[in-house]
Order: sequence, then C-alpha cells, then structure tokens
Amino acid sequence: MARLKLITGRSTKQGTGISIGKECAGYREAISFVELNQSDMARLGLSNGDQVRLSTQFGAAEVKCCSAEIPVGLAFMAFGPVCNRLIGGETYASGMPDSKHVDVEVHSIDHGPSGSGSGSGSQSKSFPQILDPDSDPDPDPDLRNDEK
Amino acid sequence: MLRIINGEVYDPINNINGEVREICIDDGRIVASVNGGRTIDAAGMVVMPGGVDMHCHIAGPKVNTARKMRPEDHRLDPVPRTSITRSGVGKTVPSTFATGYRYAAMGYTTAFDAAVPPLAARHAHEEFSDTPVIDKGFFVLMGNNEFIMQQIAAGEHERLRHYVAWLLNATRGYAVKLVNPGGVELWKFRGNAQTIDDEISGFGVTPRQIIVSLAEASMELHLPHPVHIHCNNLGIAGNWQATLETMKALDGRRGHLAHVQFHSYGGRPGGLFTSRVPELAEYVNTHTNLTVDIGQVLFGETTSLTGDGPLAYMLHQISGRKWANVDVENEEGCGIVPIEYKDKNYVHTTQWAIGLEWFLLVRDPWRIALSTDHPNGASFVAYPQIIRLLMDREYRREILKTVNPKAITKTTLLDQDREYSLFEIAIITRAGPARLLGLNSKGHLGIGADADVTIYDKQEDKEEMFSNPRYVIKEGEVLVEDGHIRKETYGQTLFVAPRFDPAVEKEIREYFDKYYTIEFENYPVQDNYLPRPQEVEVK
Amino acid sequence: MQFDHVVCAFCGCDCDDISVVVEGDRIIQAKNACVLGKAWFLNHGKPSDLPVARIEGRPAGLQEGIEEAARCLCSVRYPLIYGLSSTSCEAQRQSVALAELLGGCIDCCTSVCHGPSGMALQAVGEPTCTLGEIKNRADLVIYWGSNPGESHPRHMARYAVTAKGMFIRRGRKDRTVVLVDVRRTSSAAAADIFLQIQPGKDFEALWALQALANGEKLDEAGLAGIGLTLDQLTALAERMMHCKFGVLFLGQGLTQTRGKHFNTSAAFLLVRALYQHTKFALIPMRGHGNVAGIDNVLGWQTGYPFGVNFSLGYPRFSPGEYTAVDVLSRGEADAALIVASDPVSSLPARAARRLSEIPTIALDTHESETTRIAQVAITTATAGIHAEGTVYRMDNIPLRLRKVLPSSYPSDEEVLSRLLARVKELKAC
Repeated sequence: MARLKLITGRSTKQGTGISIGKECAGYREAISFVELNQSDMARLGLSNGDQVRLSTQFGAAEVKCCSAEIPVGLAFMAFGPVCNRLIGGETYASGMPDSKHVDVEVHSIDHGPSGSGSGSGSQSKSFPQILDPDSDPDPDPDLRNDEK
Repeated sequence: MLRIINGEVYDPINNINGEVREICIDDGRIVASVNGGRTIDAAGMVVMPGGVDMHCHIAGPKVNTARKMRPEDHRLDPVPRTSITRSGVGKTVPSTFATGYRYAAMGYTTAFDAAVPPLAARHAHEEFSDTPVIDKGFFVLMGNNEFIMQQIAAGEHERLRHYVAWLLNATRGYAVKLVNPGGVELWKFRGNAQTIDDEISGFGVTPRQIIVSLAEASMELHLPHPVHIHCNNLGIAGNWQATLETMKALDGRRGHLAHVQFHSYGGRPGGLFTSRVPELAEYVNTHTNLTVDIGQVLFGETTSLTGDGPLAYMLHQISGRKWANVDVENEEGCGIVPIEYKDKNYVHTTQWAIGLEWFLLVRDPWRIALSTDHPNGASFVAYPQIIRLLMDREYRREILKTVNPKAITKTTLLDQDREYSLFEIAIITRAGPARLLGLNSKGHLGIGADADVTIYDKQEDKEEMFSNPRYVIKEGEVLVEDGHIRKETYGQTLFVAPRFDPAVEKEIREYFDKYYTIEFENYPVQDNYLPRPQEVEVK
Repeated sequence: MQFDHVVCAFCGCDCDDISVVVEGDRIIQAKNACVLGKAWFLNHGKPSDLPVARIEGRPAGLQEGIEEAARCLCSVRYPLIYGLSSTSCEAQRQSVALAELLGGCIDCCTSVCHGPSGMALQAVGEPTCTLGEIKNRADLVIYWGSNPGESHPRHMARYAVTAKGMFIRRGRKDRTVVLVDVRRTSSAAAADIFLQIQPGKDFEALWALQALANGEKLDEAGLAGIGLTLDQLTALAERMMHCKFGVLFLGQGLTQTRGKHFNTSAAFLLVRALYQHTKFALIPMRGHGNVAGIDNVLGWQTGYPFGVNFSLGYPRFSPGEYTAVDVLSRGEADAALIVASDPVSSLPARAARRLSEIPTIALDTHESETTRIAQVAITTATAGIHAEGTVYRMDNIPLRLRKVLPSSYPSDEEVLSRLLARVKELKAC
C-alpha cells in the first residue's frame, strides 16, 4: 500500500469524451485510470494496466494504473464520476471541494485488503455504479448531523 | 390617454416657468388635447419633464466588475422582489433591475452610460435589456483607440472619420467619448499622460491631436452630441491647466467636458488642492462652444469606477483599498476602487466645494448638467441632495459649517449667495441635458414630445421633494405612483448611425487580423441586442 | 455548406474563427478547431434520437415534461438551480428569474472551478486585461497550475505564446514562457522554464514572490517544503519585475488545491505588487465556454457571481452556504434543476448522490449520468450549433453564438422561459 496525494484535473481524452458521449469507451477509459510515478509503481509491484484500489476517507474506486511523468508521491486522475468517489463534499465554507491534493491510499488489487473482491467487479458492471450502496462504503459523515 | 391638470409646469425649452397648465398625453406623446382617459389632479404639485442623466456609469464590463467586487456594499441595501419587480441590490453599484427602478422612482426617465469600450458593446446592451423603465444609450470610448491614433499619425483624417462612423454603427453607440486621451494607452505599459502635449509612445501622437481630431470628426458627422471629454490628469493637484489647455485646444469646436469638478484643481502635485473654478468657469462662460457636467462629490462611501486606469491605481495607492484594472485590447481600459469622501478631510471638502462653485459660477444653466459621475462622486439617488444645496442657501450654509473649514476658505463658496430656482433646476436636470444630447423629443413638454413626465409635491425641503415624486409617467403610462412602481416596462435604446464609406472596412479588417483576438465579422452588435431600438438622426 | 467565423463554445477560449462545414443533417468538419472543439462540433452537430422529454425514464412530450417540472419545482421549499456554464446567456437569464421566483439557490460550475478567483476579486480586486493585450504586449507569460495543452489547446497559439502582436512582432521569439505545476504536463514542452512546486505549497510560493517584489529579504529556511529554492524564486521574481508586460494565467491547480481563495488572493496581490515595477496582469483560465457568462449575468442581475440564494426574496451570497456542493452534500436542496451540466459525474459523490435522492430536472443535449437519474429530463438544442445566443470568453469579451443546424429540440432558453411562465401561473393560484 502506498499513501499518495491525488490530483484530479482535465485531460484531452476526458474533454473530447464529454462531447462524444460519456458512455463511450474512450471516455470511460480516460476517467478510469490513475497516473503514477514509475518508482511508486515498482514499490507496489505494479505494471502498466494493473488494477489498483484507491481509497480516501470519502470512498473507494478501482481503476487501472499507468506510469507517467509525475513526481513520486503524486497520483493523477482525470475529472469524472470515478475520481469523484474519492472527493468529499466538505468545502470549508469556500464552495469548492478539495479536488486536488487529497490523501489517497493505493492498494495493488492482488495484495489489497481482503474482502475487496466485491469491488473488483465494479468495472464490469454497467457504468458507473457510484450510487449503488453495496459498492460504496461512504464513511463520509452526515454533514448536517449535530451529534458527529 | 392622460390629462394632468392644475399643476405648476416647468418646461424651460418652451419657456414655461411655473404656469398652471394642462398637459395632455396620448399614445406616448404630448398632445394638444385628449378626450377621455385618466385625469391626474396635480394641484399643489410641480410638473416637469422626466429627468435626463447625461453622464453615469450603469452598464457594461467596468460596472459589472465593480458589482462583482463589492459584495459588502450590496449587503447594505438588498432590494426585495415584488409581484411586479425583480429583486437586486442597491447602494453604490446597483444591479440592473434596481438601477432602472431607482431612476424611475426619482423621476428620471432617460440615462446615458458615459463610457463603454467598443469590444464589449454587446455586454452593455445586454445589461440595458435588464435595466427597466429608462430610455438609455451610451458613449463609445475612442480616446485611446489604436486604429484612430494610427490614422492621426498618418494624417488620414477622412479615414478616421469613416472609422468613427463605422464604430458608432458597429456598437450602436450614441457619441464619441474620450477618457484620459492617450493616457490609458500609455498605462498599458505602465505610463500615463500628464499634459495634452505628451507623446503617446508607439504611436507618435499627442492627446491634443486626439482631442482635436475627434472633436472635428464628431462635428463633421453631425452627431447630436459633441465629443465628450474626460480630460487628462483627473484628480491631480494642478490639473486645471490640462483642463484649460483642452478647452483651448478645441478652439471653437463643440465639446463637452465631463465631471469638470474633478479637473479643476490648483496647487501642485503632492501638495494641497485649491480651487481654480473661477478661471475655468469664466472660460466656459465666454466660450459658448463648451458645455460641462459637474461630477459633484458628496460625502460618504461610494465606488470609483472609471475608464481612467492610471487614476484608479493612484486612488488605490492613496487609500490602500482594493483595486481592479481591466485593459481592453486596442481600445481602452478601466479601473475600480472603493472610495469614501469625508467631510472633515481637506481634499474631499475642496472637491465638494468645487462642484458647488461650478454650479454657482456658470451663468448659463443651459450649458451645465447636474451629475455626480455616478457612482464616482456619489450615487445618482443623491441628486436630490444636490438640488437642495443649490436651491436653499440657508441649508448650504448649515452644511458649510460642518465641513473642513480650511478647505472652504480656499474656495469662493462662502461668498456665493445664488439660489437656483425651480426653472433652473428643470434646466440642469432635464431640459439642458436633453438639448446637450440632441434629443429633440425629450426634456420638454411641448406638443410631440415623448410623454415622460414627473410630478412632484411642492415641498419646502427640496431634497424630500425631488426624492419622492408623486407620479412618474413614461411614454404616457403612469409607472410610479405615490412611491410605488405600478408597472414594469422597458425603454428604448437610443443610438446613432452616421454614414461611412464602406471602403474603410478593408483597412479595419486588416487591423483586426493583425491585432484583435476576435474576427472582424463578429465585432458589430447584432439587432438581437436592441429589443427597442430608436435611431436618433444625424443631420 | 460552410459557415465561417463560428464561435466554438466548448472551452473558455471561445475561438470565433471556426469554419463549420454542414452536409445534410450534420456537421462534417470544423476547420481551425482544436481536438476538443472538433469533438464538440462533430458530436453535437449530428442527429439524435433521444425523445424530447423523459419522465422517470419514459418518453414524454415537451409540454408534459415542462408541466411535470413546474409542478415539482413548485412543490418544494429549497430548490437548487445548477450548471449553466455551457448554455447561452439568454438561458442563464431565464434561470436567474426562475430561481428568484422559486426562492431557491442558483449556482454554476464557477463554484467548483474559479469561484476562488471570484472571491479573490471580492477580497483584493483584480489587475487584468483582455487576451489581445497578451497577444500584443506580453513578453513574459506564466501559467500557474494550468495545463493549457489539454484544457485549452489553442490558448497558446491564438492568444499567449506563439501569437504575434503589435509590440511582440516575432511571437514566440519575443517571449519567455514559464510553467509552474506539481507535475510536468505536456504543456511544459512549450515552456522555456518549468518549475515544479510541491502540492499544497502555492500560497507560500506566491507569498514569497510578493515579498521579493516588495523588496523584502527571504531566507532559504523559510521556504522549506515549497519545492522551489530561493534562487529559483528570486530568478522568477526578477523576470516578473523586469519584463515589459507580464501575465499570470491561473488554473485549477490554484483554485482547487489547499488554500483555494487564499491562493488566488495571493496571486492577485502578487500581480498588484508587481505594478511597483512594471505592467502585469492575471487572467483566470475559465474552463467552460460560457462560465464567464453566468458570472456576468448573475453579477448584473444580483450583484454576486455565483452561489446566490433567493429565499428571502432578494439575492444573498455566501460560498459554503448556498453553493451547490454544500447545499447538496448537507442534504438541504429538496429539488434540483440542472441546466447544461452533468453534476452526477462532475461533483463529489456525496453531492452527486443527493441528486438522485431528490426530484431532479435535467436539461441537456445528450444523455448523461444526470439525465439518467432525473425525474424529468428534457433534451435541448446545443447553443452555438442549433441555437443562437451570447457567450462570454474567459476575459469577459461577449460573442454571438450562431445557429448552423436546425434542431427539432427546443433551446434551453425556450424551455426555461416556458417553465418560468408555468411556474408563475402555478404560484399565482
């Protein structure tokens, strides 16, 4: 497992995918992989195209990984519903969620936490099951709840 | 159809000075008589044409940036919606709906935005579409236009004239406006112009040349309003000289000097202001080609927003308050800074007094217009306060006791006894501006005039009187009654369309290709942006 | 048939030199458009077989859809209108009127993109200019937290880097280009200098540059963790102070990371400090084609640029209180009207989930995650392809959108105007 900082942002494929249609393979692919530094990948025993599980305090997602020119300790994903599972809804009175610089845990799927097999099917379900309660742990606190 | 009876009518253009007369309205115009319709009994009331504001800042990118910058100002004055009216915010940079309602509530029925950069003309028109009631138009910024400067340098006056006409058509604007001519161009590389003979580097022309060429072009095109000039060096001690030089440079050509109060300062830069109004007013008195609007400062918080970019930066440096600057390619610029005028402050008191001196020293009320350069000197909703200061000598003296005494002694204000009459007020707030703008059907109540009429209760307290008209009629409809808006309407956009030689488009297009970042074809404002267009003929 | 000088309304560049070729019922070419623009023209400019309305997934007529939407919006207490960055100003104006009438919140993509830039404008002002000033004058161009190569592909060529202008006659040769980012993106290849900053350290770096511009002395120890050395910062500050005309383009790398509006305020204050030495400007890299438009419409109609609430009958502004992510994440919104946006995809999951828990009405040109969960989905024509209207470029220049193809779908403007009329009728009862 590695603890990295997640950056989310625009990419060309994500941008064209918006127009082509978000069901199209190009878009789904564009928003469903994470860019990692080569040495972070090596540390996790990962090769290009391997599945990884990303989790933050807000949620988890399983994506493919690939190496890119990105500093050690950073991970990059293109904007979309997959990375948004990892972003919280708290904006600290700014209106802006923390879309960049998010603490993320990266697990290689083969060595990931046990019982996560239920998650690995998410790529094969119809896309994107962000609203399926079974596949979404959602430890996000109820932001209205005074007790918390 | 509408009849107004028993009111005391003030219609200076038709020489009516307080006579009790009947005013008849039909189909949006003043007519000789009507049969039927509503009758308003205006006994004990004063009837005037609707007010005409010839210099304010109410629409376009500069105003909107100021709005976006001033949430703290907005929060002081929310404007709730009603079943008839839209909500918004007031105070110093009101939202568009509130702007229209507040002008109407004050009895003003026409207003002109004084400074729109041509590249954003479409924006001003969009905001106008959301500004209810008033008829409106805007002046087109040209004093830092690089194409124009190139033509001046090349001696191509005819091409310059065709370009000016083309630009007025493209923007659906009303008049030629100069703001710190040449100075804003220099500001784009962090400079400024101090005198009208400074060279504008990169173009090899001077502000003097810009002033004269555009004054000449405005006259050649027979535009209803002459070149409208915000002189170089606004706000700086000693700037009265640039103002005098500008007036002299016009050399008999028609010209209107904007918010002349801000340009009347003696003293030396960095030193204390004094008033040079006596000299400047005397020049205006003896040169009938010149007209002015005052730009009166009133004490309190307001927002300075101006096409004079370097001025805004200077104000920011003095006060430390937040500051925005927007330079517009090839054309113009603007700056925005919140500002507070304090009655114990020497400089602010001098500015306040200078404005009043102008009102009281210019002999011909037809050649001066009441303005605050809204919102630079104060909000337009404060015009009634100015009216009271002009009409009520005792009140003026009361206020004089509360301001900075040292500053007052440097002006002639203590010696001024003059009181404005209702007739004169009607001139400087409606008849005069309408004439200066060349709007023949506004500012008067003669047969055929637009039926824009304001009816005030005759009151001792003139500020109270002019703040709360009993009735405001626009195009023959009673829109405001007893302080309430009865109906929401939208006025017309007034513009000019002088002819030009289409051959000039070739050069303009080449210029666009090289230096603009939008296409020549996409520049002119389309018809869609003027839901109620009203072309004002050039002779 | 070819249409010239067409505006591409996909991203904030709003390039208006596109030549669109239409054949039959579709666009087959978009000359001059970048890859994003081409995708936009070609995909929006082809026929669709979506029904004009769906109510809970089942096809319906437009009138029925509008009726259901109106009924739904009138039956709740705290509706949210959101999106609006990819539609015309004319549609945006209808939306504000509707939000006011309903007494709800209206917010736009600004709050999750450049809201922090808008907040910096409110805090400290903004020294800026239009893009032509960059083309004509800028000899120093800095992209901070921006990857224009992928977000605004023609930005560099058309406006800022290779473009030749009045005082920059040789284009690229007369410029120095700096890129500051946490990772070396493809845009870095176009830069002379790439500065890799540590994530979450933009505020510190910008504040240090401001200090240097103010003539203050810094020590290396104080800069620990930024990722840039004192030498690098000093060199950058020197370039900024001694250029003839510099520009700082701000991207989401500043607005969305630790610091947000503090980062943008620091950037704005830096540019202001540089005025002591030279001419400088900043321009936020607005992402969507008409996000500047909704800021402007809200600005002139309400006084505030995003996150506006009308519950008291007049506009109020409070980021964090009335902004979409908050109003949804806290479960406050009890209905939503989404216009030209796909927040189920683009907002954090917590906020996105709320949209399927409450009645959501979605107006969009295509099927999306939001239309899929919507109670009422209405298919609309694309502004700039099937419908005319007004857009504002990232530097607030207004342009007219053209209609190059007919459409059987109504425009957003038409749907919203009809919805507004129906809501007025229902509320009057």
